[in-house]
Amino acid sequence: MSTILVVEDNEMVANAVAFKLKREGYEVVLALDGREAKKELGQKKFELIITDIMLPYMNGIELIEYAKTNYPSIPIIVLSVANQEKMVMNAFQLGVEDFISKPFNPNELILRVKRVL
Amino acid sequence: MKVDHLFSIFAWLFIAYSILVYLGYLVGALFSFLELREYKQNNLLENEVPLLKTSNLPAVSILAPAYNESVTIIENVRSLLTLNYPAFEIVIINDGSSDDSLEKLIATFQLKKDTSPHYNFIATAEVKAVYKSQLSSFASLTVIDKENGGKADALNAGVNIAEHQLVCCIDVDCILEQDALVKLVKPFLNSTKKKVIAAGGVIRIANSCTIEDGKLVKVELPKSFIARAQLLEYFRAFLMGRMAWSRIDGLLIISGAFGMFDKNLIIEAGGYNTKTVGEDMELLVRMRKMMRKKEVPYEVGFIPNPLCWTEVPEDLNVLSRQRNRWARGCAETLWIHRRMLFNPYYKTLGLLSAPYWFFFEWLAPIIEFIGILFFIYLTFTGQVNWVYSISFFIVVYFLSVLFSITAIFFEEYSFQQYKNLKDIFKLILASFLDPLIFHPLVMWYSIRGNIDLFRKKKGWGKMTRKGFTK
Amino acid sequence: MDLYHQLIAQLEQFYNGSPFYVKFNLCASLLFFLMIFLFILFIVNTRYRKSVIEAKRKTIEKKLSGLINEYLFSDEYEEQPTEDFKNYLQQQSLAKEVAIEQFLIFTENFRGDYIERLRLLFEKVGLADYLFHILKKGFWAEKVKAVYVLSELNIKKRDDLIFPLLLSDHPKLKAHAILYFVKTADNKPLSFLGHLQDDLSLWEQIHIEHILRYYYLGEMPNFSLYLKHRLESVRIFAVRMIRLFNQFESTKALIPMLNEEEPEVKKEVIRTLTALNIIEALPFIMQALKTNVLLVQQEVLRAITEMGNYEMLVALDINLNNPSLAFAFEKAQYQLKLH
Repeated sequence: MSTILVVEDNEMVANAVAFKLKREGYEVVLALDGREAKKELGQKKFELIITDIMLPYMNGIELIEYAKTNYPSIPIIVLSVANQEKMVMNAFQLGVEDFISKPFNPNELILRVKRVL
Repeated sequence: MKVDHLFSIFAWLFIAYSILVYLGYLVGALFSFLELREYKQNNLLENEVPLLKTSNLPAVSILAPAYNESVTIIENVRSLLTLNYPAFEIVIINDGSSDDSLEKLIATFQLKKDTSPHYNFIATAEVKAVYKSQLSSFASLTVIDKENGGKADALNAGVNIAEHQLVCCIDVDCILEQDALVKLVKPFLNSTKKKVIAAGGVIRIANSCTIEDGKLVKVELPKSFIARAQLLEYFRAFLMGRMAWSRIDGLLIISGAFGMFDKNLIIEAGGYNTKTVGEDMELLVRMRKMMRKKEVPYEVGFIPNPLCWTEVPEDLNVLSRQRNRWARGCAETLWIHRRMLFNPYYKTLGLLSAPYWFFFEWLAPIIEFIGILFFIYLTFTGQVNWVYSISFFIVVYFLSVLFSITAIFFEEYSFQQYKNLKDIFKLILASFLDPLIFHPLVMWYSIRGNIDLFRKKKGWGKMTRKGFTK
Repeated sequence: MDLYHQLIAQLEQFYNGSPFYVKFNLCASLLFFLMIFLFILFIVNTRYRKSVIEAKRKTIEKKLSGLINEYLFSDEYEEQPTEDFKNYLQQQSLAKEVAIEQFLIFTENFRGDYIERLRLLFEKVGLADYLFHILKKGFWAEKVKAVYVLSELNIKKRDDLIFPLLLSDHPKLKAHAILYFVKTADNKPLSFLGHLQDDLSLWEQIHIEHILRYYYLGEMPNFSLYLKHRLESVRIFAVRMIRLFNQFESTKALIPMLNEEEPEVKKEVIRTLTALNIIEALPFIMQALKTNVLLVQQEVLRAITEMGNYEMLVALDINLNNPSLAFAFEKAQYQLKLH
């Protein structure tokens, strides 16, 4: 079964996403900020990254840049508030596979995860 | 026998005075606590997004006078340009700098002379030119180049040119939080029954903090004692003093480093007074008097959030010039508005605020200084009652420490900027040292200020800055 | 021990033998010293308690988020038992507070049928009743929060409890009651305006505007219905909203308002007519120049700059004695010459 790295600074949302994904049978690792995510990437093999953009220490854009250079084979789905158009464009330019804007429907998230994997 | 008698009178006077101070302290602490609590309750659910997205927020003109700020000016303007606010302009007033501030501004922001008509609602020193940027991304930037006329004169030139209904006067080297304007404008939005004439904020100390691109990234406790002592002083002045005065709407000063005003009322009041170095205090007092005379119900807002950070002097010469200026400003303002003192017509203002400033802000260092001279005289003539003197000293010492400790408590209660418990202990230690080291110094500077005032000395009191970026 | 008694005795003797002012000083010093000591203890204790509460919060959060997730993502959520959840909330005093925060976070982040599930759960575990109880008995700041949470979760079972708050003396309570009615409305979001006694603050106007723009899904109200409202601030608000939502059909109703007395309303009307570019209104707007209020006169000049031309401006019969007006005129001239 695929392992997914979820990067989200709000613990409630992170837990909910993890809960839902686990129900669908995925294995989930949580990271609450960009730095933690970077560490996890070095330790484990992931099939997918789901990340927020507004993150403490190392923001999502930096994290995507890092992941796309060092682990180009892992697909990335961004899950974030899309109040800045520039940010969405930026993410796509860096090569992310999908963008889900908050507020989101968890069922939709699962469908998009299935499509990417 | 004679000396004993004198002591008796002196002792009674002191007891009366200290009871007054003590009561003042208690009431002040209580009011400030109530005001802070109410502010917190009122702002628990504040969400600024609607304010940022509307077109109905009053537009603001930021006025920043600059005098020889070449080292930091570009960085500061860039940081101002990124403030979160839906509609604002920045007006930099180059007050006859002798350095290359203007050239730098022109080159960086591609400024071009602006030919549109202007009107001097308030008379100022000659404006040489007004510049606007040719680049659309800096369309909100205006630079005024004028003959040197002092800070008040520079601000008046800014008021003349300001496009918007509200003006926010700042020191150009201050570091503003991203949401500083949105927070400071709130008093103007909430009142329906009273006219809000101005709003002020807390000034915080940026020494030793991490600053990147003109933005405050990490709050740190200042490393030097002199800056820590000023930190305690600012806590006492803002979190205790002004908060309490705000509760009874008796604020007499909005710091020149960060305050928002209704532009038309500034013009109506005649603008900043160029003949005093305490222009920030003098203007608010004059605006209040004007409103009282017009019999329009009004109020002055005060926001305790940490919104404006400034570097305080660590160099004693610079500190001495600053305090000298403050002492003169205070004395001049009180003198200009002396008719207000104990005048029941002005209510809180005349019966409480003005007397407070007179006795505790202006007179206190002078009384203290005379006391010390008297003590020295007695020592030399061998007439000192040592038991009395020492006990007297201990009370005063403990009371000053208590003031600072209470102020630290208010910081803890309000916004808790220093997360590390160690920092709090460092501040407590500084509170114990402050009355012995820093306080006498500041007292001496304000005595010098008063002496200079009588000798008629004027000027900006140049402040040399280190600049934040290392 | 003896030494100690001796010391005390000596101090007592010293104190008794001192004149009154020394006594006063000693007592005051002791009092201040004690207060310093107490304050320091208090500060340290506050920090300590904060960290304890923080830790407690963390455990509660973990437990609750598990419970909410269990319910939210179960397939037969409607039959899912909630007794455990309910009991847990009853035991811990902090738990209700944390739970409410979590519900707010979930509602903010989720979309679709999950919102409905959240609301159902919120009611089932008794949190809605808890808020209703606060609305009946609570302190004003608690009431404000209750109203806010109910409006965010769209729980509109007890409008009757919130209705009286529209007339509250407490500005924040009144403000949030207003926002509650706008936010929970499926249609006619402004019907509360009829019951309003006090003026709308600018803060309230801006927040209502925000909800109408970004949350309200029903049919946009016809703002011209409020142009005759007895509160000046409501009339101003209506004029502004006509501008914001481009309600051209209301411009006919706006023109007679140029004869209103309040200069603020007049100014706002002129601004709206200008923004919507109603050139036919320009002669009526120019009539308003006769009002001797600077605010209105400046706005008229601005309207001419936007919709008129240089000839119109110079042909104006206008008294330029007031320097501010003269300046506005000069500025208008300058701008019209540019084009």
